Amino acid sequence: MEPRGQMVLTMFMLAFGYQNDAWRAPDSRAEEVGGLDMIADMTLAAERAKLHAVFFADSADGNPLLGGDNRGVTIYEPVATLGALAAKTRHIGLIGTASTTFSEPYTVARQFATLDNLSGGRIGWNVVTSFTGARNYGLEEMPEPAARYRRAGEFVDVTNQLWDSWDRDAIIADRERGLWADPDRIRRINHRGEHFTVEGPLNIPRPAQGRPLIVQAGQSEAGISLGSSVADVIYTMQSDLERSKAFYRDYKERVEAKGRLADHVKLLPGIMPIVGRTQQEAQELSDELASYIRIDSGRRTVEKMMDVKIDDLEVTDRIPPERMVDGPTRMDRWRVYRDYALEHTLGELITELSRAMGHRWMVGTPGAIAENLIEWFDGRACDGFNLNPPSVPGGMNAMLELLVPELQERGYFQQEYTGSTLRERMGVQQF
Amino acid sequence: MSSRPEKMILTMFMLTSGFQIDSWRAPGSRSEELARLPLMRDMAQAAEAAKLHAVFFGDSVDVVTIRDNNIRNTGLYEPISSIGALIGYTKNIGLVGSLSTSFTEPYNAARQFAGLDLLSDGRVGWNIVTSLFGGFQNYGLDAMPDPKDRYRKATEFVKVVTELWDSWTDDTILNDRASGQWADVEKIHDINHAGEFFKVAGALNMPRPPQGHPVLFQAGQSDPGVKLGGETADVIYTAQSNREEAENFTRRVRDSAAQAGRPRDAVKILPGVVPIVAATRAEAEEMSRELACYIDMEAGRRRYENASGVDTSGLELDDLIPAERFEGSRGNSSRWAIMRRMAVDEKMTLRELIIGFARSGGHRILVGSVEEVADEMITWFEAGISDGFNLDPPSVPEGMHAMLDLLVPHLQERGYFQTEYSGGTLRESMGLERPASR
Repeated sequence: MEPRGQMVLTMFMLAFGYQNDAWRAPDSRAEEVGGLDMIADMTLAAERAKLHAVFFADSADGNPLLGGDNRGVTIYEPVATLGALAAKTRHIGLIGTASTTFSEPYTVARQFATLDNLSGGRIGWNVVTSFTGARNYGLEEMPEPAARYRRAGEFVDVTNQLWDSWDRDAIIADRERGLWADPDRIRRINHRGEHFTVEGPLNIPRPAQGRPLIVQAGQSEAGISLGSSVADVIYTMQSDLERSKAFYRDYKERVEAKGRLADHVKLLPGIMPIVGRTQQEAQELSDELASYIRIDSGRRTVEKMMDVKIDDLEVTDRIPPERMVDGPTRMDRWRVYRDYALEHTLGELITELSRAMGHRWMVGTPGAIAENLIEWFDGRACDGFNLNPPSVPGGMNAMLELLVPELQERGYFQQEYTGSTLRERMGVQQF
Repeated sequence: MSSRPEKMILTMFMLTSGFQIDSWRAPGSRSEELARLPLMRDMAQAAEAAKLHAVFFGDSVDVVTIRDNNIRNTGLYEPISSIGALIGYTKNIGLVGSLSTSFTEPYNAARQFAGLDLLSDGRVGWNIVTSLFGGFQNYGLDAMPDPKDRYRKATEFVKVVTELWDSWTDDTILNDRASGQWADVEKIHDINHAGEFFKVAGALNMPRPPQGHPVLFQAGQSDPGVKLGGETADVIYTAQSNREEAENFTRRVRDSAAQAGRPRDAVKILPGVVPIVAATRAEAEEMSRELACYIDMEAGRRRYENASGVDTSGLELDDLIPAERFEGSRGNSSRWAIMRRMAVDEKMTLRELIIGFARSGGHRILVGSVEEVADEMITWFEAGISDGFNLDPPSVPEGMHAMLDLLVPHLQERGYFQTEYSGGTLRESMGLERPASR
């Protein structure tokens, strides 16, 4: 097998921990959630481990919280938070989510351009289409996925044009002539499309990276089509090695078919490693975390996620197959769990959903987990991973202080930051 | 109850290229660094060292002024992300940013300001603007909506945002490890707003901000602007260069607050001032002359014409503008009336008007020794015309440092300004009440 370079590693920033209800651990910092100190500490821990970036998801409504899902993806609004973390860190990349469904491209282009300039080129934008939240934005129901993705494609086209609307050398700061920016090096974009009419140019200088890193997740056909066209990093859900290899191969072909270099798009499956110095220590941590899972809120998560009624079922029952009806609005995640639910009890499904949400989770020593990650990486099932901290700070620290050094010792992960921007460090296209 | 503070409230307008147009041409300016972090960080930290209550970012959403080579207030620092970064570089100072109600959704605005307030432990303010000067072309519109519509929309926007901030009670978060209840979801309320411009179900997906509501700033001098301010604002920024007009404005705002059922002094009024100060009057005048010589008079004449609607063709720089030239010019704003008064009643020459416009934008210019400038500010403050001031740094860094390192300490020595931070939220430090939880 030909040798590969090193993995790209990022961390999913969930202040409550990735496993639902993990905040109930006595050492959690649940009292501080919402404040700056604890996420600054999380990000600094990731920076000490030389991770490429930390990543904030987002959502446009409070339904997960109301349903008892306390992963807390919405507590930290990404633009505000990335700004604060830019001040607290020096090298690590900062990736935040902004929806193309409920924002305007001029606003998003400005916010991410400023973040990129203030951070010295360390910013990434996770481009999402919202599948909930309509009623907070004056809509009765969500647009169809196809329509959302058409809007997303045009949205990114506009933000790219806006970021390109200032030449690299537009700022001349010519005191003698009294000319700060050369107007000839700042151009209108005059975009007119199906969803947006934007004259431009941006009123913010070209971002430090030219364009902030573009991240995308979504394994539907529309999602893959968008990601392979515009994204530098793809977050993906993969639970099976062979299927992940096939997905990887197909995806890179799609990228090349669009005239891009396959290596310029990094595929990063999520994984939640529950790490201990010994197998027994790891298992104890896993058991402890499992004990925090609330069955009542787990039931609500199943109902919401799977769109089924389960009031009449015991945790030892299986969900009757006829209650789970596929359709065009179902997400990939729904199908993954439909398949899982066909073969497992409701209780097992609750634990699985609390832990995995479509991603893998593993319990083991640093060596055992590292070997598995390396098998995936060397087998070209991925270019690295998005690490889900099982709990914070306990599970996160074990992941960063035991597993990541193991990968470094084996030569699979960087020991120092190199390059000056996130794009350079990730090995994706430069602008 | 809120009451007039014994000491002034002072904030600083974050104009990274200096308040006077073209002042960045000074040899010591840091214009190469505009839009970058170190310049903005150093300014905020200098303001914090001077114990100012807050720094304030204006904003715009188009490039028109940059194209005209006017980089005074161009939106080079997008406020939400910039304030986010400054939270990480400061400890006590308030951080205020403008966000237009014309081009964004209230749910997004509520989230971004709630996020900033949470991250800063309650140091954030939102300056509510309606995008008077443009931006429509970047948001799919053919023209700016009519001012009345913009203000109606702004009023509804602010109502939705504050309801969203209130959608969680202060005691929603239980953090009960034993039961596994982090939040008492019964205390998270949908707002179910359905109005003329917005339909928002709620609730917000974030906890109530530490200040309840981030401090609400507003700066409109038209009748709808004063009404919105009196009804909703905590702090009003205003352009006042004439004492009598400033008194009238203050009365209008206090009346408007009273009509809205609030205490007359519920709203803090902070006129903008441009202090060009030095140890002696002679030095200040020298600095003023030097700054004036950076103004591009040709561009200045064009900008003055654009702002006033007055044709100055055929006039020499030392001429007066004949009064009839103001007739028929489109005077839709209170600033136009000020411009007319200066030209016609105060008989300023075209050159003086261009310099005045480049340097003040309707704000009061105070050139003099530290004592003289402080006296002028104290006179207005003592007369109840203002609750403090928004300080416009005439140039950066030189003019800003004179202002922060000479003028502010002098006000402190005379007992008119705080010498330490109180340690509370921005709302507390400004003497504003915290809105009660539902």
